[in-house]
Amino acid sequence: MTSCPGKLFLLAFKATRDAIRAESRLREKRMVFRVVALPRTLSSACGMALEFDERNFSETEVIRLLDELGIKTVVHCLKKPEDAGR
Amino acid sequence: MAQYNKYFDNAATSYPKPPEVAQAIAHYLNEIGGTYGRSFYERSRLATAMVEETRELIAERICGSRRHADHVVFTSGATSALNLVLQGIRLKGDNVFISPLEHHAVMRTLTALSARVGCKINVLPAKSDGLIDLEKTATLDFSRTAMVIVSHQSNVNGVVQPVTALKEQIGEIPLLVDAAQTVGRPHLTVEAEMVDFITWTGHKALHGPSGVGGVFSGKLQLLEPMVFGGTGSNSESYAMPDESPERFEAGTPNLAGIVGLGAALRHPVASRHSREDYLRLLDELSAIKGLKLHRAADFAVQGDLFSFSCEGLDCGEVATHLYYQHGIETRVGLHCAAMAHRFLGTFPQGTIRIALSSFHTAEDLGFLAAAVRESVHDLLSR
Repeated sequence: MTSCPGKLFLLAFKATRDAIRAESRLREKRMVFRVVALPRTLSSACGMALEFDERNFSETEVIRLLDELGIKTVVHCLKKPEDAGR
Repeated sequence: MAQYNKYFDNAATSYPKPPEVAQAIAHYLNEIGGTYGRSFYERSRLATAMVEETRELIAERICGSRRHADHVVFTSGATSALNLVLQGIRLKGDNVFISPLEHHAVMRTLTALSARVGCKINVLPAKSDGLIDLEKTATLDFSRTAMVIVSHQSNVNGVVQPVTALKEQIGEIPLLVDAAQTVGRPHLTVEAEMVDFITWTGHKALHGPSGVGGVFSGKLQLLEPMVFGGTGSNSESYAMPDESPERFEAGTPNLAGIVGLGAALRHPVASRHSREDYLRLLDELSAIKGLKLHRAADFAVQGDLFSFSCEGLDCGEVATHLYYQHGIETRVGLHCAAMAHRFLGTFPQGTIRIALSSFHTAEDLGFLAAAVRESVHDLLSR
């Protein structure tokens, strides 16, 4: 089940340590993502977030991998760049 | 001419360090830079990952598993770590029990807290070398006790305390172990699952740089933060975050120091001398006329340091002679542990402390024994 079909989604973390562990785990699994600044509209925290394209990886798959390590994350759906302004 | 390692002040800070420590620090400062946990760009991510790797390595060193890395709070050293626990646990008018060999990092903090909140400081019964007497502690009344605090290895005579057996006696009462002298020594590990709070430092037996230490605990929720400020997380709130270790790590950490410690943890130094070499050193020194060793009565609980004094000679004079005649570097005086010296009967003159490092060889120890013998002989025959 995915909440962001065909869109970009973003993983945010409460703890710095979780963000670093998540990045390391997902790179191990050869997942493609961008490390981005957390959008101000989502949180005023100044840490990092991981941005995925749902067409490449499902949100469910990513969450499952992080759950295995007990990493807590919050998923936010984003518009794809080509959707912007429609 | 043979080159000996004549530095015997490793209980103050260790020297030398593995070369990889300085290399890692230089690499971080010159090539990486970047702060911890505050940004998404590569430079910051690399710095953050380096800190988190060091956190995992220190967890592994203390408890055998990287999975408990979130039990590690970085501080500026063992003293600030002890302050975090002692001030953070919010002692009220309760009892605290301590060993008779505590360092000022504990004693001065507890003395200040005692004046502030009225906690009562009690000393655990011990044998003549300061080793906690478990037969006597078994009959003690620990009611209304907020915490028991024990220096794992005395920084004066090297006695290693039976912390696991003590924890079995005190049950649910939190046990704080000051492991400043032992974390990093493979033969002196603490059973981490038995201890509620372990404080440690990076610049002694771990061979890291100064300025990094911490608390290892699965019970951080019992503590209130002592330092408040930015963490890079939960920034919309004026309250510290609930998550550990962030809750206790306000402000930018000592990044270069943590990176250096990480390198030290990746390059542990196997001891270049054996326990037999060490015992031989103690035997040779104890045979010197006029010299008194201050050590554990039982070699089985002897850590990698001890002290000595000489009848009729000022310790400062002996240490100065050892340095100028033989190049031997030692620590003389009370070693920030006046309580231990009072208990051992060496207050106020103190002692001359010899603290070994994994880098010392049997030959270095032989050189030390000969130098002490010669210095004591020279000074006594003036």
